[in-house]
Formats: sequence, structure tokens, C-alpha cells
Amino acid sequence: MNPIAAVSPPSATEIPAVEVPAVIDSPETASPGRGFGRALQDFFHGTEMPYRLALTRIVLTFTLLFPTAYRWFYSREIFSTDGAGISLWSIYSFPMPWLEPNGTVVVAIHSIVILALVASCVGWCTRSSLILATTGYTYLNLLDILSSLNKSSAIASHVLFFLCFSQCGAVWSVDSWLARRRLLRQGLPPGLIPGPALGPRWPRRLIQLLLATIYLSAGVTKLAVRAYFTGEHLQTWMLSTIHTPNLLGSYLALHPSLVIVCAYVTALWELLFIFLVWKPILRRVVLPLGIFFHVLTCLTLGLFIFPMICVSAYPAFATDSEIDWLRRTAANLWNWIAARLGFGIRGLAALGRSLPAIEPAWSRGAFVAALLGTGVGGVALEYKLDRYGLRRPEGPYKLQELDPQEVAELVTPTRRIEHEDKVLNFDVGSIFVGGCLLDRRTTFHQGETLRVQCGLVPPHENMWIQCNLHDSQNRMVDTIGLFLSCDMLRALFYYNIGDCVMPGEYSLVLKIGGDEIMRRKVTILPRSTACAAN
Amino acid sequence: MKRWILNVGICGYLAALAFGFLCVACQVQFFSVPMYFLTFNMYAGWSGYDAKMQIIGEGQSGRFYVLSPGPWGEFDPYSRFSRQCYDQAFEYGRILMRPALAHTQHEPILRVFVVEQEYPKKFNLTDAQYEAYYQKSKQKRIYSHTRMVLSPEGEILTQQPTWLRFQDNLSIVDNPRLVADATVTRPFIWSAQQPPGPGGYPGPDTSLGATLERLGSPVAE
Repeated sequence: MNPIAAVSPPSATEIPAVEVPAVIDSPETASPGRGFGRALQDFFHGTEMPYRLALTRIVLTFTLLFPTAYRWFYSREIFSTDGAGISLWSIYSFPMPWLEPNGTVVVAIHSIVILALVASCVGWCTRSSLILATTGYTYLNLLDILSSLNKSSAIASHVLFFLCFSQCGAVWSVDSWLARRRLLRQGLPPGLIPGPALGPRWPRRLIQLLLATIYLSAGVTKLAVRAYFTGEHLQTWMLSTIHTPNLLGSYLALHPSLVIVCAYVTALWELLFIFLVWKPILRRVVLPLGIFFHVLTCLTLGLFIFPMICVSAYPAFATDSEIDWLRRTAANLWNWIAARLGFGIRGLAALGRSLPAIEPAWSRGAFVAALLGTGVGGVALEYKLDRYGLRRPEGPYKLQELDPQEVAELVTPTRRIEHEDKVLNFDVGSIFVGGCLLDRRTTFHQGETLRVQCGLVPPHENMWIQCNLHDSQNRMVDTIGLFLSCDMLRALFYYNIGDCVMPGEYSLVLKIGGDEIMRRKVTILPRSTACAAN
Repeated sequence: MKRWILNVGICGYLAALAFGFLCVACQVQFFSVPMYFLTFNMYAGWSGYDAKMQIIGEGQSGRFYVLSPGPWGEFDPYSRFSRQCYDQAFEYGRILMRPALAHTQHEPILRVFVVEQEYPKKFNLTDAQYEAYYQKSKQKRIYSHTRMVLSPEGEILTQQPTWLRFQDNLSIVDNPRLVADATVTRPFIWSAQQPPGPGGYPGPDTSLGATLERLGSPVAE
């Protein structure tokens, strides 16, 4: 039993301040002399207070509510046989039509999954709601590979699965509040109310190992991707709009040198995570780096749900002292709120005390009733909303007709890619690092070397690419040409600016197959140091 | 719960995770539902082009109609692209057209066209960014490519490779010597090529990881 500071029974005018008992877990570190087997046993089968997983439960289910609730209105269209559901097993040539529901059934399931996620978040009938949320959420995602199933939902399914086996509902939950209330109503002094049940450690351990494996797999994947360490991979993803709009991606994508640094740091962090996160002193670096990495994926790639799902598993790595700090902070916050909203909180507390004690069976009964009501209500509401418009007064919708001009543009012979569209960037500078231009300059002195980089996007054919130097009257002063094979993504040009190139305004002109693609203006200044006389 | 059951479960799960990791590391693909949950190969590819998918039906009268998204409105799962645009190989037009054909009033549809529309990702820059960097106004070019022609029942009448692969093939057949070599050695009876697919090893690395196969993100795989 954990020591809980005794407090006087709450009166009608008092708002009970929250006291935070110390977190006492079974020791995590093996004492000297214990065998590896016993340490391993303790690693997985020790017991602990479930605060970490409670935090994971709250954050993860809250996160999953966003995509799940958003898709409810479209569930008939995207999940069912009445719409355009495309299941994972069907594309893998394992047809199981008996697993693919019709529109009504999928709407009912979807409604129940939303309730289960809400119940899991607030901790009401936590284990049952988590089981429902896990199976329902995973099942729905499997029915729609285009717009619901993805690796982030797969990760969420794993974590939800482990939460089902934990005691994450024993704290910070409606269940724990009801249990405490029941005991208080039975006359048990608050000081004698037992603390939350200890839970096994293995669900948290498996979540830790899952997260570490995910990062390691992602890092290894990047090692095999062509053009990851040269920046094109990240550049194009930053420019993509298939995710939600992002703030920084388009700015960063035009600076390949920065992108390459990000690429190396990311790969290094992902590959080393699994080895470094177990040491407390290194964990303090690795986890904040992870949060920073996920924030950057949000700002540069437009990912929201994926980083939140990953970060929701981070509390699994929290230490006892961090959990203690978090609990004290939460308690202080509650006390602060109670002090400022005293009247409202007292009213709620009085209302709570006036209600009869809720037995576990009643709570479960109410939960089942809520599930049934939600399922039926969801179906009724979706029927009323009539996504397909079948019950409109004017009858079903008519197909939208296309303009013949638009049709002609769509159904047209495929044309070749324009040369201009093969070029992603064209920059001038003076320093190449790792095959990438580090700086951008437009002013050079005689005697310096101009370095010009042209980045291409595949597919492109073998081609002849030129970088010409034109003077202010657009006369070609010098030219460099390169053969570029179809697998090359970058063309590098070096211009030694000798004394034969007079100071003045010039342009570097990029040409592919004789077509001018881009120009960059440069200024050539006189030699900065005099030539030494022999 | 009995300890030995737990231990077997834990060991089994860790073994499965390790197997999934090894598959990713060795780039071996098993097309099965459990393996999808055990392999974490996010951002395994990239492309310099964004794509949209149009599914249009040709009616008996010669008029064309939009079949996806349906007339009731589109579903944008992540950004402003409709759901069908996340079909990365543009192969599920036969399923995506079903709701519109089943739940709307329309004349008999003769053929359905699945059209890819591709454009360079640099056109996703804002107008100001584009003009500042490329020093010219943005004139977005979209490349249309008829990926499949289907019957109203979903039977494939004709199909072409995806646009990326089509363009790559064009760049290869630009080489007359290569074309001549292929033509000379082509047998009279052309045996079917073995495409990579479910249960099959992908074969030699014909995809350069960037050009031909559009591999998705954690969001859109």
C-alpha cells in the first residue's frame, strides 16, 4: 500500500486539495550480483505504478479521435461494400468478402469505435473500451488502404493492444474516481483508501521495444533509399502536398545543404535510438531530440497524427522522478484551478457527493447501454444525413458532367516531360560539400572559381546539359557541357574566372538540349589581390 | 495470467518484430496482412511529381461524367486531394467508380477512363517563392496520362504503365541501338513477363527507388 497523506473528510465547502504520494515501483535496476535471467525477469515482469501508460492512454486515444471522428461521416463510402472500400487482404489476393461489411454495419461499428476511444481517453470501463477501440480501430483501417490504413495507424494499433493488458485505467480515469468515491461513501477514511493497483511492466517494455524497432527500421530504410543523403528525397517530400499543408517545407526544400544536414542527423538519431535510450543520462538527449524531430516532421512534411502517435508512446520511457514531477504538476494545476473556479468546483463536488455510489455493475451496464445507444444512434444519424443523397426530395444526385475541353485535356496522348520540368534547382556558390553547394553567392572576383549546381528530378533521359556564361549583352563568353545519364540527379559545373573574363555583370544560363531553362545573374569584380610579379 | 504464457507471448512478439526488421533491412517483401503491421519502412521512396487521379465515364450520348469523387462531395483525408488521389499505382479505379455508378441517376456508361495527372512538385511553391527562386512567373504544367480504360463492370479493357514508368520507358527507347538490340532478339512468340506481385520476389532492382514506383509516406502508404 502506498503512503497517502491523511486528509480530513471533505466538507460541503471545502475543495479537497490533491496530495501526491511518492511513486514506488519495484526497482528497475538490478542489484549487483543478480543473474541476467533474474534481471530479465524483473525487466518484463516487475510491477509498477501505471502512470506512464495512463498518460500514453490519454494522449494516444485523444490523438486517434481526430482522424476517426473525421471519417465517421464518410464511413459508408470509404469502408463498406456500399461504397469504395478497399481492404488490405483483398489487395494481397486473400479475398474474404465475409469480413467486408455493408454500409449500416460499418457505420454502427465506427460509431462504437468513437465511443470506445472517448471512454478509453477518460478511463471509463477502461479495459473493455480499450479492447473495443483496438479491435474496431484496426478493423476499420484494414478496410480502407487508401486513406485510413498507414504505418502510423499500424503503430497505434500495436500500442493500443498493449494498453489492453495494462493497468492504465487504474489512475487518472473515471474508473479510479468512481472506485475512490465508492469507498468514501462506504465510510472508509481517505487515508485508508488503497492506492492504485500495480501493473505488470511488460506492456510498457514492449511499447519501448516497439518504438525503438520502429526508429531502427525507419533508419535502415533510409540507408537504402537512393538520394536520401544527397537531399533529393527529403526535398521532394517537403514540397509534396499529399499531407496537410506545412509551414517550413517549401522554404527548407530550396536549401539542399540544410536538407542534407537534416538527413544525416535524422538517420543517425533513428539508428542509435535503440542503443542510447536505455541509459538515463543519454535518454535526456535522445527523447527531446525525438520530440524535436517529430515537431519538424509536422512543420516540414505536414504530418500531424503520426508524430502525435509516436510521442504518445514516449511516456513509456519516463523515469520515476519525472512521473513524480508530472503528478505534482498536475496536482498543483488542479489546486490552482480549484482555487480560481472555487464556486463552480464546489458545486460540482456537491453534485458528485449527492449522487449515489455507482457500483461496478451499474457502470458496466451503463457502458453497454451507451455502446448500444451509440451504435443505433449513429446509424440513425447517418441515415438522416444521407451521404449519397438517395432520399433527397429531388431524388438521387446526377453525375457531374465534364466540359468537352476539359475532357480533351484529360484524355490526351501522353506527352514527354518538358526539359524545364526536369530541373528542380539551379544555384551558384563557391563551396561544395558532399556534392552539394553549401553557400549561394552572386558576386565573385577574378581568380575565383564559380561552382554551379543543377538538381534534376527523375525520370529523365540521357541528356546533354550546358551551363553557359553570357555577358551583359547576352553574348556567350564561355560554355561547359556535360553528358548526364538517366540515373544522375545532379550536374556540377566549375567555372574558373580568369583574367580573360572582364569585370562586369554576367549570366549563367542553363540549357538542356538547346532549350534555355534558367538563368542566374552573377557579378564579376576585379581581382581582389594583385598578381605577384615573377 | 500464467507466467509461461506471458513469456511465450513476449518472445513471440519480439521475434515477430525482429523478423519484420530483418525483412526491411534485407528489402524482402511479404505481401500479407500481419507483415504490414511488422514492417516499418516509412518513406521508402520518393518522386519529383505530385499526382492526381481522375475517373471519368463516357456515356452513351458521348458526354463525359466525373465518377470519383461522387456528386455528393469529395472526401479529403489529409490535404486538399480527394481520396482517389492516394491510389499510388492508379489501379483501383474499378472500385472507386462503384458508388457513383450505383447511387446516381445517369445514362448508360460505356467506358470509364482512369487518368493520371502529374505535375512537378516545384509548382507547389507559392507564387511568390516560385518567382523569387526561378525568376519567372509560375505556369503550372500538368501531364495527363490515361492509365486504364475500364468497362462499367470494372473489367480492364486497356491499360498502360503508370506515367512515371511510361516516361522512363520513353527515355530508354530514345536509344536506337538499344531498341534495335531488343527487336532483334525478341522471340516470335512473346512470353509473358513475370511482374513482381504478391508472394513474389520483386526481382532485380528495376526501380531506382525514386523514379518508377511511387512509394508512400507514413500517411499515404
